[in-house]
Amino acid sequence: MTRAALPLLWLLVLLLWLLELVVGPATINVFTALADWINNSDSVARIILQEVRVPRALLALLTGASLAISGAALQGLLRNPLASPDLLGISQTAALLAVCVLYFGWSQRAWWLLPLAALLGAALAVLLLLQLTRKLPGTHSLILAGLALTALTSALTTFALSFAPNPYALQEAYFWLLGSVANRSLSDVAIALPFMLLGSALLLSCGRALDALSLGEDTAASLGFPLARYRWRLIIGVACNIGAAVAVSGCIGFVGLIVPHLLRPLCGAQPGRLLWWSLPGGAALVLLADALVQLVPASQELQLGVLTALLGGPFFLLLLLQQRSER
Amino acid sequence: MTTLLHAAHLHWRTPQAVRVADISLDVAAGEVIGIIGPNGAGKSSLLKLLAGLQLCDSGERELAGKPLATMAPLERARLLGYLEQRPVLHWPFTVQQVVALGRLPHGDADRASGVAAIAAALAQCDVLDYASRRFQQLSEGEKMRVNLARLLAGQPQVLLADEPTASLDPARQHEVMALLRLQAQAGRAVVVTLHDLTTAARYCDRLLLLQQGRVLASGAVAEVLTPALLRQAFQINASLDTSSATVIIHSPPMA
Repeated sequence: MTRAALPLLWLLVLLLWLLELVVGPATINVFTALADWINNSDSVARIILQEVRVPRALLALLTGASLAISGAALQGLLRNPLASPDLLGISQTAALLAVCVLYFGWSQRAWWLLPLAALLGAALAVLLLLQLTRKLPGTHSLILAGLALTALTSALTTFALSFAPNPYALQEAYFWLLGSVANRSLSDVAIALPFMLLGSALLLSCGRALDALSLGEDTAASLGFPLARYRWRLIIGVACNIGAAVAVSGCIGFVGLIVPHLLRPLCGAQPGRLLWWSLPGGAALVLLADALVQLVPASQELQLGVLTALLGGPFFLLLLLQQRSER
Repeated sequence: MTTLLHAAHLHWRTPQAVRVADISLDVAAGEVIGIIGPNGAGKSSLLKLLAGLQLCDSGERELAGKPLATMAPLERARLLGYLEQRPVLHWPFTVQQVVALGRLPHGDADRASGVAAIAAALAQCDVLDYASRRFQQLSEGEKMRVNLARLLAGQPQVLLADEPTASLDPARQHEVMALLRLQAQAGRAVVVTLHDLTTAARYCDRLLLLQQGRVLASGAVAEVLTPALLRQAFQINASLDTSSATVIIHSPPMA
Protein backbone atom coordinates (compact mmCIF):
# COMPACT_ATOMS: atom_id res chain seq x y z
CA MET A 1 0.00 0.00 0.00
CA THR A 2 2.79 2.40 1.02
CA ARG A 3 4.74 1.98 -2.19
CA ALA A 4 1.69 2.78 -4.29
CA ALA A 5 0.85 5.84 -2.21
CA LEU A 6 4.06 7.74 -3.07
CA PRO A 7 3.27 8.16 -6.79
CA LEU A 8 -0.28 9.12 -5.76
CA LEU A 9 1.14 11.84 -3.54
CA TRP A 10 3.17 13.18 -6.49
CA LEU A 11 -0.01 13.08 -8.59
CA LEU A 12 -1.73 15.16 -5.91
CA VAL A 13 1.15 17.65 -6.11
CA LEU A 14 0.68 17.90 -9.87
CA LEU A 15 -3.07 18.49 -9.48
CA LEU A 16 -2.56 21.13 -6.79
CA TRP A 17 0.10 22.80 -8.91
CA LEU A 18 -2.36 23.02 -11.81
CA LEU A 19 -4.98 24.38 -9.38
CA GLU A 20 -2.49 27.10 -8.37
CA LEU A 21 -2.33 28.18 -12.02
CA VAL A 22 -6.11 28.55 -12.17
CA VAL A 23 -6.66 30.29 -8.82
CA GLY A 24 -6.11 34.03 -8.54
CA PRO A 25 -7.84 37.41 -8.43
CA ALA A 26 -7.94 37.68 -12.23
CA THR A 27 -9.90 35.14 -14.23
CA ILE A 28 -7.83 33.84 -17.14
CA ASN A 29 -8.08 30.90 -19.47
CA VAL A 30 -4.95 28.96 -18.60
CA PHE A 31 -4.96 27.02 -21.87
CA THR A 32 -5.17 30.17 -23.97
CA ALA A 33 -2.44 31.78 -21.85
CA LEU A 34 -0.28 28.70 -22.30
CA ALA A 35 -0.86 28.70 -26.04
CA ASP A 36 0.11 32.39 -26.18
CA TRP A 37 3.25 31.63 -24.21
CA ILE A 38 4.22 28.78 -26.54
CA ASN A 39 3.48 30.89 -29.63
CA ASN A 40 5.34 33.81 -28.07
CA SER A 41 2.40 36.12 -28.63
CA ASP A 42 1.74 38.87 -26.10
CA SER A 43 -1.48 38.81 -24.13
CA VAL A 44 -2.56 39.80 -20.62
CA ALA A 45 -3.38 36.18 -19.82
CA ARG A 46 0.10 35.09 -20.86
CA ILE A 47 1.77 37.75 -18.72
CA ILE A 48 -0.33 36.79 -15.70
CA LEU A 49 0.51 33.12 -16.21
CA GLN A 50 4.19 33.63 -16.92
CA GLU A 51 5.01 36.44 -14.53
CA VAL A 52 2.64 35.73 -11.65
CA ARG A 53 1.08 32.30 -11.49
CA VAL A 54 3.85 29.97 -12.69
CA PRO A 55 6.56 31.51 -10.45
CA ARG A 56 4.15 31.50 -7.52
CA ALA A 57 3.11 27.87 -8.04
CA LEU A 58 6.72 26.76 -8.56
CA LEU A 59 7.89 28.56 -5.43
CA ALA A 60 5.03 27.11 -3.37
CA LEU A 61 6.02 23.64 -4.58
CA LEU A 62 9.74 24.12 -3.99
CA THR A 63 9.39 25.89 -0.65
CA GLY A 64 6.98 23.28 0.68
CA ALA A 65 9.20 20.40 -0.39
CA SER A 66 12.32 22.07 1.08
CA LEU A 67 10.72 22.93 4.41
CA ALA A 68 9.22 19.46 4.81
CA ILE A 69 12.36 17.49 3.92
CA SER A 70 14.36 19.73 6.27
CA GLY A 71 11.86 19.10 9.06
CA ALA A 72 12.00 15.35 8.47
CA ALA A 73 15.82 15.40 8.39
CA LEU A 74 16.03 17.49 11.57
CA GLN A 75 13.62 15.18 13.37
CA GLY A 76 15.77 12.21 12.32
CA LEU A 77 19.05 13.92 13.18
CA LEU A 78 17.94 15.16 16.59
CA ARG A 79 15.71 12.08 17.09
CA ASN A 80 12.99 14.38 18.24
CA PRO A 81 9.47 14.58 16.75
CA LEU A 82 9.12 18.23 17.76
CA ALA A 83 12.12 19.42 15.77
CA SER A 84 11.37 21.69 12.85
CA PRO A 85 13.22 24.59 11.22
CA ASP A 86 10.93 27.34 12.49
CA LEU A 87 10.25 26.02 16.00
CA LEU A 88 13.97 25.72 16.62
CA GLY A 89 14.75 29.22 15.37
CA ILE A 90 16.60 28.03 12.25
CA SER A 91 14.31 29.90 9.84
CA GLN A 92 14.45 33.01 12.06
CA THR A 93 18.25 32.97 12.19
CA ALA A 94 18.29 32.63 8.41
CA ALA A 95 15.83 35.54 8.20
CA LEU A 96 17.97 37.71 10.48
CA LEU A 97 21.01 37.40 8.25
CA ALA A 98 18.87 37.88 5.16
CA VAL A 99 17.37 41.07 6.65
CA CYS A 100 20.89 42.35 7.34
CA VAL A 101 21.80 41.80 3.68
CA LEU A 102 18.59 43.54 2.58
CA TYR A 103 19.14 46.39 5.04
CA PHE A 104 22.64 47.16 3.86
CA GLY A 105 21.55 46.86 0.24
CA TRP A 106 24.07 44.08 -0.50
CA SER A 107 21.47 42.03 -2.33
CA GLN A 108 21.69 44.61 -5.15
CA ARG A 109 25.41 43.89 -5.61
CA ALA A 110 25.15 40.15 -6.17
CA TRP A 111 22.00 38.02 -6.44
CA TRP A 112 23.52 35.16 -4.48
CA LEU A 113 24.30 37.20 -1.36
CA LEU A 114 20.74 37.00 -0.02
CA PRO A 115 20.38 33.20 -0.22
CA LEU A 116 23.97 32.79 0.97
CA ALA A 117 23.30 34.91 4.06
CA ALA A 118 20.10 33.00 4.82
CA LEU A 119 21.96 29.74 4.26
CA LEU A 120 24.76 30.75 6.65
CA GLY A 121 22.19 31.79 9.23
CA ALA A 122 20.45 28.42 8.97
CA ALA A 123 23.76 26.51 9.23
CA LEU A 124 24.78 28.57 12.25
CA ALA A 125 21.50 27.81 14.00
CA VAL A 126 21.70 24.04 13.31
CA LEU A 127 25.28 23.94 14.59
CA LEU A 128 24.34 25.82 17.73
CA LEU A 129 21.38 23.51 18.37
CA LEU A 130 23.51 20.41 17.87
CA GLN A 131 25.97 21.67 20.47
CA LEU A 132 23.16 22.55 22.86
CA THR A 133 21.43 19.18 22.50
CA ARG A 134 24.69 17.45 23.40
CA LYS A 135 24.91 19.42 26.62
CA LEU A 136 21.16 19.47 27.30
CA PRO A 137 19.58 16.22 26.10
CA GLY A 138 15.81 15.79 26.01
CA THR A 139 12.81 17.18 24.19
CA HIS A 140 12.10 20.05 26.52
CA SER A 141 15.67 21.34 26.49
CA LEU A 142 15.61 21.33 22.70
CA ILE A 143 12.33 23.23 22.54
CA LEU A 144 13.56 25.74 25.11
CA ALA A 145 16.82 26.18 23.23
CA GLY A 146 14.80 26.76 20.05
CA LEU A 147 12.57 29.23 21.88
CA ALA A 148 15.58 31.17 23.14
CA LEU A 149 17.14 31.25 19.68
CA THR A 150 13.84 32.33 18.12
CA ALA A 151 13.37 35.10 20.69
CA LEU A 152 16.92 36.35 20.26
CA THR A 153 16.96 36.35 16.47
CA SER A 154 13.44 37.81 16.23
CA ALA A 155 14.48 40.63 18.57
CA LEU A 156 17.62 41.29 16.52
CA THR A 157 15.56 41.25 13.31
CA THR A 158 13.10 43.77 14.79
CA PHE A 159 16.06 45.85 15.93
CA ALA A 160 17.49 45.82 12.40
CA LEU A 161 14.07 46.64 10.94
CA SER A 162 13.67 49.63 13.28
CA PHE A 163 16.48 51.26 11.34
CA ALA A 164 14.64 50.82 8.04
CA PRO A 165 15.24 53.83 5.80
CA ASN A 166 11.52 54.44 5.14
CA PRO A 167 8.10 53.06 6.15
CA TYR A 168 7.67 51.37 2.78
CA ALA A 169 10.89 49.38 3.20
CA LEU A 170 9.80 48.44 6.73
CA GLN A 171 6.41 47.21 5.49
CA GLU A 172 8.03 45.26 2.67
CA ALA A 173 10.44 43.53 5.04
CA TYR A 174 7.65 42.88 7.54
CA PHE A 175 5.43 41.18 4.94
CA TRP A 176 8.40 39.23 3.63
CA LEU A 177 9.06 37.93 7.13
CA LEU A 178 5.45 36.76 7.48
CA GLY A 179 6.10 34.31 4.68
CA SER A 180 4.55 34.36 1.23
CA VAL A 181 5.15 33.20 -2.33
CA ALA A 182 3.05 35.98 -3.87
CA ASN A 183 4.55 38.56 -6.23
CA ARG A 184 7.64 36.52 -6.98
CA SER A 185 9.30 36.08 -10.34
CA LEU A 186 11.04 33.30 -12.19
CA SER A 187 14.37 34.80 -11.11
CA ASP A 188 13.39 33.99 -7.50
CA VAL A 189 12.85 30.41 -8.62
CA ALA A 190 16.26 30.45 -10.31
CA ILE A 191 17.90 31.74 -7.11
CA ALA A 192 16.31 29.12 -4.87
CA LEU A 193 16.27 26.05 -7.12
CA PRO A 194 20.02 25.18 -7.18
CA PHE A 195 20.31 25.44 -3.39
CA MET A 196 17.15 23.43 -2.84
CA LEU A 197 18.24 20.71 -5.27
CA LEU A 198 21.68 20.49 -3.67
CA GLY A 199 20.21 20.52 -0.15
CA SER A 200 17.62 17.87 -0.93
CA ALA A 201 20.19 15.63 -2.65
CA LEU A 202 22.47 15.92 0.40
CA LEU A 203 19.64 15.06 2.79
CA LEU A 204 18.39 12.15 0.67
CA SER A 205 21.90 10.70 0.63
CA CYS A 206 21.74 10.51 4.44
CA GLY A 207 18.60 8.35 4.53
CA ARG A 208 20.27 5.16 5.71
CA ALA A 209 22.35 7.06 8.27
CA LEU A 210 19.17 8.59 9.70
CA ASP A 211 17.58 5.13 9.85
CA ALA A 212 20.62 3.87 11.77
CA LEU A 213 20.48 6.89 14.10
CA SER A 214 17.07 5.67 15.25
CA LEU A 215 19.06 3.26 17.42
CA GLY A 216 21.30 5.94 18.94
CA GLU A 217 24.71 7.27 17.94
CA ASP A 218 26.80 4.32 19.16
CA THR A 219 24.68 1.67 17.47
CA ALA A 220 24.50 3.77 14.30
CA ALA A 221 28.31 3.91 14.27
CA SER A 222 28.48 0.15 14.84
CA LEU A 223 26.19 -0.32 11.83
CA GLY A 224 28.69 1.61 9.70
CA PHE A 225 27.07 5.04 9.93
CA PRO A 226 29.09 7.20 12.31
CA LEU A 227 27.27 10.51 12.84
CA ALA A 228 30.52 12.44 12.50
CA ARG A 229 30.65 11.39 8.85
CA TYR A 230 27.11 12.58 8.10
CA ARG A 231 26.69 15.55 10.44
CA TRP A 232 28.07 18.14 8.03
CA ARG A 233 26.15 16.73 5.10
CA LEU A 234 22.93 17.03 7.11
CA ILE A 235 23.72 20.53 8.38
CA ILE A 236 24.60 21.80 4.90
CA GLY A 237 21.55 20.05 3.44
CA VAL A 238 19.19 21.70 5.94
CA ALA A 239 20.98 25.04 5.59
CA CYS A 240 20.70 25.00 1.77
CA ASN A 241 17.00 24.20 1.90
CA ILE A 242 16.03 26.59 4.68
CA GLY A 243 18.38 29.32 3.49
CA ALA A 244 16.93 29.20 -0.02
CA ALA A 245 13.32 28.92 1.19
CA VAL A 246 13.68 31.86 3.59
CA ALA A 247 15.54 33.96 1.02
CA VAL A 248 12.68 33.77 -1.50
CA SER A 249 9.57 33.28 0.61
CA GLY A 250 10.29 34.46 4.16
CA CYS A 251 9.38 32.43 7.23
CA ILE A 252 6.62 29.95 6.41
CA GLY A 253 6.15 28.15 9.68
CA PHE A 254 5.09 24.69 10.81
CA VAL A 255 5.40 22.93 7.43
CA GLY A 256 8.54 21.10 8.60
CA LEU A 257 6.72 20.00 11.73
CA ILE A 258 3.32 19.02 10.34
CA VAL A 259 4.27 17.15 7.17
CA PRO A 260 6.49 14.43 8.71
CA HIS A 261 3.82 13.80 11.35
CA LEU A 262 1.04 13.48 8.79
CA LEU A 263 3.12 11.12 6.67
CA ARG A 264 4.50 8.77 9.34
CA PRO A 265 1.30 6.70 9.56
CA LEU A 266 1.38 6.33 5.77
CA CYS A 267 5.01 5.48 5.10
CA GLY A 268 6.19 4.07 8.43
CA ALA A 269 8.46 5.72 10.93
CA GLN A 270 11.81 5.16 9.14
CA PRO A 271 13.44 8.59 8.85
CA GLY A 272 15.13 7.64 5.56
CA ARG A 273 11.88 6.76 3.83
CA LEU A 274 10.18 9.80 5.35
CA LEU A 275 12.61 12.07 3.50
CA TRP A 276 11.34 10.84 0.12
CA TRP A 277 7.72 11.24 1.22
CA SER A 278 8.24 14.67 2.73
CA LEU A 279 9.16 16.20 -0.64
CA PRO A 280 5.71 15.72 -2.22
CA GLY A 281 3.97 16.00 1.17
CA GLY A 282 5.41 19.45 1.86
CA ALA A 283 4.83 20.58 -1.71
CA ALA A 284 1.18 19.49 -1.54
CA LEU A 285 0.57 21.21 1.80
CA VAL A 286 2.04 24.56 0.77
CA LEU A 287 0.35 24.48 -2.66
CA LEU A 288 -2.98 23.78 -0.96
CA ALA A 289 -2.41 26.48 1.67
CA ASP A 290 -1.41 29.01 -0.99
CA ALA A 291 -4.50 28.18 -3.06
CA LEU A 292 -6.60 28.70 0.09
CA VAL A 293 -5.14 32.12 0.91
CA GLN A 294 -6.10 33.23 -2.57
CA LEU A 295 -9.63 31.91 -2.19
CA VAL A 296 -10.30 33.57 1.20
CA PRO A 297 -12.24 36.77 0.49
CA ALA A 298 -10.36 39.68 2.08
CA SER A 299 -9.42 43.23 1.19
CA GLN A 300 -5.80 42.22 1.24
CA GLU A 301 -4.61 38.66 0.58
CA LEU A 302 -3.91 36.60 3.70
CA GLN A 303 -0.18 35.84 4.08
CA LEU A 304 0.73 32.19 3.51
CA GLY A 305 2.89 32.13 6.66
CA VAL A 306 -0.07 33.34 8.70
CA LEU A 307 -2.27 30.49 7.45
CA THR A 308 0.35 27.80 8.10
CA ALA A 309 0.85 29.23 11.61
CA LEU A 310 -2.92 29.20 12.17
CA LEU A 311 -2.97 25.51 11.20
CA GLY A 312 0.37 24.61 12.79
CA GLY A 313 -0.05 26.24 16.20
CA PRO A 314 -2.96 24.02 17.34
CA PHE A 315 -1.27 21.02 15.68
CA PHE A 316 1.86 21.62 17.74
CA LEU A 317 -0.18 21.86 20.97
CA LEU A 318 -1.94 18.62 20.04
CA LEU A 319 1.42 16.92 19.57
CA LEU A 320 2.63 18.12 22.95
CA LEU A 321 -0.54 16.78 24.61
CA GLN A 322 -0.16 13.49 22.74
CA GLN A 323 3.44 13.14 23.93
CA ARG A 324 2.33 13.85 27.48
CA SER A 325 -0.40 11.19 27.37
CA GLU A 326 2.01 8.61 25.91
CA ARG A 327 4.27 8.87 28.97
CA MET B 1 40.75 -22.14 15.45
CA THR B 2 40.76 -18.94 13.39
CA THR B 3 41.35 -15.74 15.33
CA LEU B 4 38.60 -13.35 14.29
CA LEU B 5 39.34 -10.49 16.66
CA HIS B 6 42.81 -9.53 17.75
CA ALA B 7 43.67 -6.69 20.10
CA ALA B 8 47.12 -5.96 21.48
CA HIS B 9 48.24 -3.45 24.13
CA LEU B 10 45.17 -1.24 23.92
CA HIS B 11 45.37 2.03 25.81
CA TRP B 12 42.66 4.65 26.17
CA ARG B 13 42.93 7.54 28.54
CA THR B 14 40.49 10.42 29.08
CA PRO B 15 41.26 13.61 31.01
CA GLN B 16 39.36 12.14 33.95
CA ALA B 17 40.76 8.61 34.12
CA VAL B 18 42.59 5.73 32.52
CA ARG B 19 39.75 3.85 30.84
CA VAL B 20 41.75 0.97 29.37
CA ALA B 21 45.40 0.18 30.06
CA ASP B 22 47.52 -2.31 28.17
CA ILE B 23 44.82 -4.86 27.39
CA SER B 24 45.43 -7.60 24.86
CA LEU B 25 42.86 -10.12 23.73
CA ASP B 26 42.43 -12.69 20.97
CA VAL B 27 39.00 -14.12 20.21
CA ALA B 28 38.66 -17.17 18.00
CA ALA B 29 35.70 -18.45 16.03
CA GLY B 30 33.50 -20.64 18.23
CA GLU B 31 34.48 -18.94 21.48
CA VAL B 32 32.43 -17.04 24.04
CA ILE B 33 34.62 -14.63 26.00
CA GLY B 34 33.21 -12.98 29.09
CA ILE B 35 34.51 -9.64 30.34
CA ILE B 36 33.79 -9.22 34.04
CA GLY B 37 34.74 -6.75 36.73
CA PRO B 38 33.25 -4.31 39.20
CA ASN B 39 31.42 -1.15 38.14
CA GLY B 40 33.79 1.27 36.42
CA ALA B 41 36.39 -1.43 35.72
CA GLY B 42 36.39 -0.54 32.02
CA LYS B 43 34.28 -3.38 30.59
CA SER B 44 32.11 -1.20 28.33
CA SER B 45 35.10 0.97 27.39
CA LEU B 46 37.03 -2.12 26.28
CA LEU B 47 34.06 -3.37 24.27
CA LYS B 48 33.78 0.00 22.50
CA LEU B 49 37.47 -0.16 21.63
CA LEU B 50 37.06 -3.70 20.31
CA ALA B 51 34.03 -2.61 18.28
CA GLY B 52 36.05 0.19 16.69
CA LEU B 53 33.64 2.79 18.07
CA GLN B 54 36.37 4.52 19.99
CA LEU B 55 39.85 5.56 18.93
CA CYS B 56 42.54 4.14 21.16
CA ASP B 57 45.63 6.10 22.24
CA SER B 58 47.85 3.18 21.29
CA GLY B 59 47.63 -0.50 20.50
CA GLU B 60 46.56 -2.53 17.53
CA ARG B 61 43.21 -4.01 16.58
CA GLU B 62 42.52 -6.49 13.82
CA LEU B 63 39.22 -7.87 12.59
CA ALA B 64 39.34 -11.06 10.51
CA GLY B 65 43.04 -10.42 9.87
CA LYS B 66 42.65 -6.81 8.71
CA PRO B 67 43.63 -3.74 10.73
CA LEU B 68 40.49 -2.13 12.13
CA ALA B 69 41.92 1.36 11.70
CA THR B 70 42.04 1.11 7.92
CA MET B 71 38.68 -0.60 7.55
CA ALA B 72 35.74 1.35 6.10
CA PRO B 73 32.87 1.67 8.62
CA LEU B 74 30.48 -0.38 6.47
CA GLU B 75 33.03 -3.13 5.89
CA ARG B 76 33.62 -3.33 9.64
CA ALA B 77 29.88 -3.36 10.32
CA ARG B 78 29.38 -6.32 8.00
CA LEU B 79 31.92 -8.32 10.02
CA LEU B 80 31.21 -7.13 13.53
CA GLY B 81 27.92 -6.62 15.35
CA TYR B 82 27.69 -4.57 18.54
CA LEU B 83 24.87 -4.48 21.06
CA GLU B 84 25.09 -1.55 23.42
CA GLN B 85 24.32 -1.73 27.12
CA ARG B 86 20.95 -0.02 27.01
CA PRO B 87 19.75 -0.17 23.42
CA VAL B 88 17.49 2.73 22.52
CA LEU B 89 14.91 3.22 19.81
CA HIS B 90 13.71 6.71 19.04
CA TRP B 91 10.80 6.03 16.68
CA PRO B 92 7.73 3.79 16.88
CA PHE B 93 9.12 0.93 14.78
CA THR B 94 7.63 -2.52 14.53
CA VAL B 95 9.75 -5.51 15.54
CA GLN B 96 10.24 -6.35 11.85
CA GLN B 97 11.52 -2.83 11.14
CA VAL B 98 13.96 -2.96 14.07
CA VAL B 99 15.38 -6.29 12.91
CA ALA B 100 15.61 -4.98 9.33
CA LEU B 101 17.94 -2.24 10.59
CA GLY B 102 20.49 -5.01 11.09
CA ARG B 103 20.80 -5.20 7.30
CA LEU B 104 21.80 -1.54 6.95
CA PRO B 105 25.50 -2.37 6.51
CA HIS B 106 24.53 -4.59 3.57
CA GLY B 107 21.90 -2.22 2.18
CA ASP B 108 19.68 -5.09 1.08
CA ALA B 109 16.76 -5.11 3.52
CA ASP B 110 14.33 -5.08 0.56
CA ARG B 111 16.18 -7.63 -1.56
CA ALA B 112 15.97 -11.42 -1.35
CA SER B 113 19.24 -11.89 0.57
CA GLY B 114 18.23 -9.34 3.20
CA VAL B 115 14.66 -10.58 3.51
CA ALA B 116 15.94 -14.14 4.08
CA ALA B 117 18.47 -13.01 6.70
CA ILE B 118 15.81 -10.98 8.54
CA ALA B 119 13.36 -13.91 8.52
CA ALA B 120 16.06 -16.28 9.78
CA ALA B 121 17.04 -13.89 12.59
CA LEU B 122 13.39 -13.41 13.62
CA ALA B 123 12.92 -17.18 13.77
CA GLN B 124 16.22 -17.82 15.54
CA CYS B 125 15.40 -15.38 18.33
CA ASP B 126 11.80 -16.61 18.50
CA VAL B 127 10.25 -13.23 17.80
CA LEU B 128 8.39 -14.12 14.61
CA ASP B 129 5.05 -14.17 16.43
CA TYR B 130 5.18 -10.50 17.23
CA ALA B 131 7.05 -9.24 14.17
CA SER B 132 4.30 -6.74 13.40
CA ARG B 133 3.98 -5.43 16.96
CA ARG B 134 5.42 -2.12 18.08
CA PHE B 135 8.83 -2.54 19.72
CA GLN B 136 7.93 -0.14 22.53
CA GLN B 137 5.03 -2.38 23.58
CA LEU B 138 7.30 -5.36 24.37
CA SER B 139 8.64 -6.50 27.72
CA GLU B 140 12.34 -6.05 28.53
CA GLY B 141 13.07 -9.70 27.77
CA GLU B 142 11.28 -9.53 24.42
CA LYS B 143 13.07 -6.29 23.55
CA MET B 144 16.43 -7.90 24.19
CA ARG B 145 15.53 -10.83 21.95
CA VAL B 146 14.53 -8.40 19.21
CA ASN B 147 17.81 -6.53 19.61
CA LEU B 148 19.67 -9.81 19.34
CA ALA B 149 17.67 -10.62 16.21
CA ARG B 150 18.71 -7.24 14.80
CA LEU B 151 22.32 -8.14 15.59
CA LEU B 152 22.03 -11.57 13.96
CA ALA B 153 20.24 -10.23 10.87
CA GLY B 154 23.52 -8.56 9.91
CA GLN B 155 25.21 -12.00 9.92
CA PRO B 156 28.44 -10.70 11.48
CA GLN B 157 31.32 -13.02 12.27
CA VAL B 158 32.04 -11.31 15.59
CA LEU B 159 29.33 -10.43 18.12
CA LEU B 160 30.00 -7.97 20.93
CA ALA B 161 27.26 -7.54 23.54
CA ASP B 162 27.48 -5.12 26.45
CA GLU B 163 25.63 -6.58 29.44
CA PRO B 164 22.91 -8.28 27.39
CA THR B 165 21.43 -9.88 30.52
CA ALA B 166 21.12 -6.69 32.60
CA SER B 167 17.57 -6.08 33.88
CA LEU B 168 16.36 -9.51 32.73
CA ASP B 169 14.84 -12.21 34.94
CA PRO B 170 16.78 -15.51 35.28
CA ALA B 171 14.80 -17.32 32.60
CA ARG B 172 15.33 -14.49 30.07
CA GLN B 173 19.02 -14.31 31.03
CA HIS B 174 19.32 -17.99 30.19
CA GLU B 175 17.54 -17.50 26.86
CA VAL B 176 19.86 -14.69 25.82
CA MET B 177 23.06 -16.45 26.84
CA ALA B 178 21.97 -19.74 25.27
CA LEU B 179 21.32 -17.86 22.04
CA LEU B 180 24.79 -16.32 22.13
CA ARG B 181 26.32 -19.73 22.84
CA LEU B 182 24.53 -21.08 19.79
CA GLN B 183 26.11 -18.35 17.70
CA ALA B 184 29.55 -19.45 18.90
CA GLN B 185 28.72 -23.04 18.04
CA ALA B 186 27.82 -21.83 14.56
CA GLY B 187 31.39 -20.53 14.17
CA ARG B 188 31.06 -16.94 15.31
CA ALA B 189 33.19 -15.24 17.94
CA VAL B 190 31.25 -13.80 20.88
CA VAL B 191 32.41 -11.29 23.49
CA VAL B 192 30.04 -10.28 26.28
CA THR B 193 30.41 -8.09 29.33
CA LEU B 194 28.61 -9.51 32.34
CA HIS B 195 27.87 -8.55 35.91
CA ASP B 196 26.48 -11.87 37.01
CA LEU B 197 29.40 -14.14 37.83
CA THR B 198 27.37 -17.37 37.72
CA THR B 199 26.15 -16.50 34.22
CA ALA B 200 29.76 -15.87 33.25
CA ALA B 201 30.82 -19.21 34.72
CA ARG B 202 28.10 -21.12 32.91
CA TYR B 203 28.20 -19.69 29.43
CA CYS B 204 31.73 -18.42 28.78
CA ASP B 205 34.73 -20.38 27.59
CA ARG B 206 37.23 -17.84 28.88
CA LEU B 207 37.01 -14.82 31.15
CA LEU B 208 38.81 -11.51 31.34
CA LEU B 209 38.65 -9.95 34.81
CA LEU B 210 39.18 -6.20 34.77
CA GLN B 211 39.93 -3.74 37.52
CA GLN B 212 40.50 -0.03 37.00
CA GLY B 213 40.97 -0.49 33.29
CA ARG B 214 43.59 -3.22 33.62
CA VAL B 215 43.46 -7.00 33.30
CA LEU B 216 43.56 -8.55 36.74
CA ALA B 217 43.30 -12.10 35.40
CA SER B 218 42.40 -13.91 32.23
CA GLY B 219 41.96 -17.52 31.27
CA ALA B 220 39.59 -20.42 31.84
CA VAL B 221 36.64 -19.86 34.16
CA ALA B 222 38.14 -21.79 37.08
CA GLU B 223 41.43 -19.89 36.79
CA VAL B 224 39.74 -16.50 37.01
CA LEU B 225 36.91 -17.06 39.48
CA THR B 226 39.18 -17.93 42.40
CA PRO B 227 38.40 -16.71 45.93
CA ALA B 228 41.54 -14.56 45.99
CA LEU B 229 40.82 -12.81 42.69
CA LEU B 230 37.13 -12.35 43.54
CA ARG B 231 38.12 -10.78 46.84
CA GLN B 232 40.61 -8.49 45.15
CA ALA B 233 38.27 -7.39 42.37
CA PHE B 234 34.86 -7.28 44.05
CA GLN B 235 35.70 -7.16 47.78
CA ILE B 236 33.58 -10.25 48.46
CA ASN B 237 34.23 -13.64 49.98
CA ALA B 238 33.07 -15.93 47.23
CA SER B 239 34.04 -19.11 45.47
CA LEU B 240 33.14 -21.08 42.40
CA ASP B 241 31.30 -24.37 42.88
CA THR B 242 32.67 -26.16 39.83
CA SER B 243 30.09 -28.99 39.91
CA SER B 244 27.17 -26.58 39.37
CA ALA B 245 29.17 -23.73 37.78
CA THR B 246 27.79 -21.37 40.42
CA VAL B 247 29.57 -18.56 42.20
CA ILE B 248 28.59 -18.65 45.86
CA ILE B 249 28.95 -15.55 47.98
CA HIS B 250 29.83 -16.70 51.51
CA SER B 251 29.46 -13.53 53.51
CA PRO B 252 28.30 -9.96 53.12
CA PRO B 253 30.66 -7.61 51.31
CA MET B 254 33.88 -7.00 53.16
CA ALA B 255 34.43 -3.70 54.90
